[in-house]
Amino acid sequence: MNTLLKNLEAGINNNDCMLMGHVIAGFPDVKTSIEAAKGICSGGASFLEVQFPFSDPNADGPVIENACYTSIENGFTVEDGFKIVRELSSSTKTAIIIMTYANIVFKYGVQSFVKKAKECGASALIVPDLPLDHDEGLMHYATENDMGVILIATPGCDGKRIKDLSEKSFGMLYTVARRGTTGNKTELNAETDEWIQLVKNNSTKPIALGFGIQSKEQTDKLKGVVPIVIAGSYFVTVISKLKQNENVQSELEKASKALF
Amino acid sequence: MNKRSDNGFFGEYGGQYIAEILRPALKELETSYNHYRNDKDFIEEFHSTLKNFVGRPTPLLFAENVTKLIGGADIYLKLEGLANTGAHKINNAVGQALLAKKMGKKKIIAETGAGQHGVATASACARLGLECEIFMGEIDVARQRPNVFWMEMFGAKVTPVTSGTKTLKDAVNEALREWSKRKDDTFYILGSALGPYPYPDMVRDFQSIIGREVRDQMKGYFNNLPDAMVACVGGGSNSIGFFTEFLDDTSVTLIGVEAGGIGDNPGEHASRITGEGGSTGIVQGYKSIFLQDDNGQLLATHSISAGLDYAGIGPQLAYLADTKRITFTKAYDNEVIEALQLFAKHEGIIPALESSHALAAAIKIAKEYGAGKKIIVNVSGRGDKDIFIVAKALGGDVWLNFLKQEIVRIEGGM
Ligand SMILES: Cc1ncc(COP(=O)(O)O)c(C=O)c1O
Repeated sequence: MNTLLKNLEAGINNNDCMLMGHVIAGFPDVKTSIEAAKGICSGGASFLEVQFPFSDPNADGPVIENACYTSIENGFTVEDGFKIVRELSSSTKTAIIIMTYANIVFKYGVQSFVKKAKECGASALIVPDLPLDHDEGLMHYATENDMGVILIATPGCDGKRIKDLSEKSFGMLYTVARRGTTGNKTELNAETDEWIQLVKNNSTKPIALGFGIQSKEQTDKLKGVVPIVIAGSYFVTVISKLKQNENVQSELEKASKALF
Repeated sequence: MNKRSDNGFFGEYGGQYIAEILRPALKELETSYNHYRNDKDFIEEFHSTLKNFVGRPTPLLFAENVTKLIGGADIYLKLEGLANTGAHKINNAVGQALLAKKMGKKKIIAETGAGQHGVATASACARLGLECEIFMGEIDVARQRPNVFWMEMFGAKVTPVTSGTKTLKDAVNEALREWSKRKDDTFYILGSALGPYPYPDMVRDFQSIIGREVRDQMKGYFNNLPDAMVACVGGGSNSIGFFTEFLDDTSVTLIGVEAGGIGDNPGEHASRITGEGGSTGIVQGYKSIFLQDDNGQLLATHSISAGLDYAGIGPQLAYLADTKRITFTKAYDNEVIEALQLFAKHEGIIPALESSHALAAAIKIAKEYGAGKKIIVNVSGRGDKDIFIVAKALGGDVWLNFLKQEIVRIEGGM
């Protein structure tokens, strides 16, 4: 069974608040990104997004953007990304999700990219700029390979669109808490409550809520509201502040546990 | 020939490859634009603004002196630089700003490279009473200070972009980010014939006034069609605006000129069609030809003209290159400066560096075609904005001394 679906089912059955972590492949270098990812996994993440950096990440805010540039400057290749995914999926129980932008997948060849992702043990893919009606066959190839594409619902979607997206999304519906890009803390206020309620009312799948999650205070509020919280820029910030001689894996494990 | 996109696509190029957050805004734009482009009042308002505010029609000039000097084909110049704010960019800025108003939008955002689209947008917003914020790469802010100065004079806020290569493509990214943050009171005025559908169609439509005027004006000089038409190609807005009217006239050779920069190695040019490193990709919401590496990362670009310094090309131009309706060539930085000097000296015009690419190619084409043939060049902008770059490229102490003395004068309060 696909690891993502397995972890999801277990978490839902236990009524857990599950964590989806995030690393930038090759940031600050390949080795450190692997250790950091392992720390997030041993810290309890059920899911981990491994972002293959792209030179023009226009859905991301400054924290992830800068990490992507560093990785590319340090010579990141798509093959490095797959190597990282292979290592993580074989050494952890966490479901590994490849997140990237359209051009990285397109240039590699959509079908080849999906095949390779599967071969390396990835459970799912997230490509924000390959939307449903312009996906270059991504969903077709993913399904063919016992994987799936996780779709994203954002403020501005109406009930019908949320339903559509959730039906086609793999396992869960990635739900963005507010407008804008990644980073910046999200205030959990009446407006976000209303939005989350709209998604809950229309989604046919469990909700993974993200964008701006960076504290226990926030996840406490979300417990019982959504089954999965996503922390992205939070982890990338921790990784970018690591000091030399620090044990990368245990620092990230701590950071992961600190969210709950 | 079908001049509009088919479901957002020109052959395999174009489309709407956008994150979910931008979908409602683009769908709204699509619906509104497809309504207003057929709306009599809107078209009338657009044309009266072009006439009274932009100063259209811009002239078509027979470059008699250069033609004689070269001894080849007759060269005609469409002088878009004589439009308000100095370039063709204003045609599109005015069109989109008017549409924004019709749609009830209060705030405008835009990207700019050289600053010409930024200046045009800021000007249109000042005229129409819209709030305006322009995103501009930090490097472009530094090298195009005069344009920043004028944008601010028009009341626009200019926000330097510090991410990535700090140039045009990064300004586009930042404008897209900002658009995804804003509520539905904001309209994004994109400056070239690219980006997600419906921008390539909309920008082309607003710019097509250029070619329509040419068709009319050339009758004052000759009866039949020109043999060739030449335009520089950054994103592709001036070229597609100039060519569209003539796409069906297959006897007219259409020539697009890319930035050859300082050489043919990656990073030294912005030649997507004629250079090394161009291949199909999906970036910034559309599928087209991009300068990129094997991993799909965009390559750095170089051009003496900030307006051509961009890794992508509009999807319709990529399609017309594939189908060979438009022939592509390039001009190197040094040829561009020479062409600028030649036309300044003998025709009394100051072409923009971008437009000087078209002129550099036209000089070669005129020789090749020979006497009796006719070519029309789109001089997309005027070069006042480039005085710092051109003066520097030509070297010499006079300009340097002037700048030094100017600092003394400013600091001395004289
Ligand atoms: C005068 C002028 N010409 C040409 C261009 C290139 O853009 P496009 O290819 O969209 O006409 C610019 C862009 O800034 C410009 O300012």
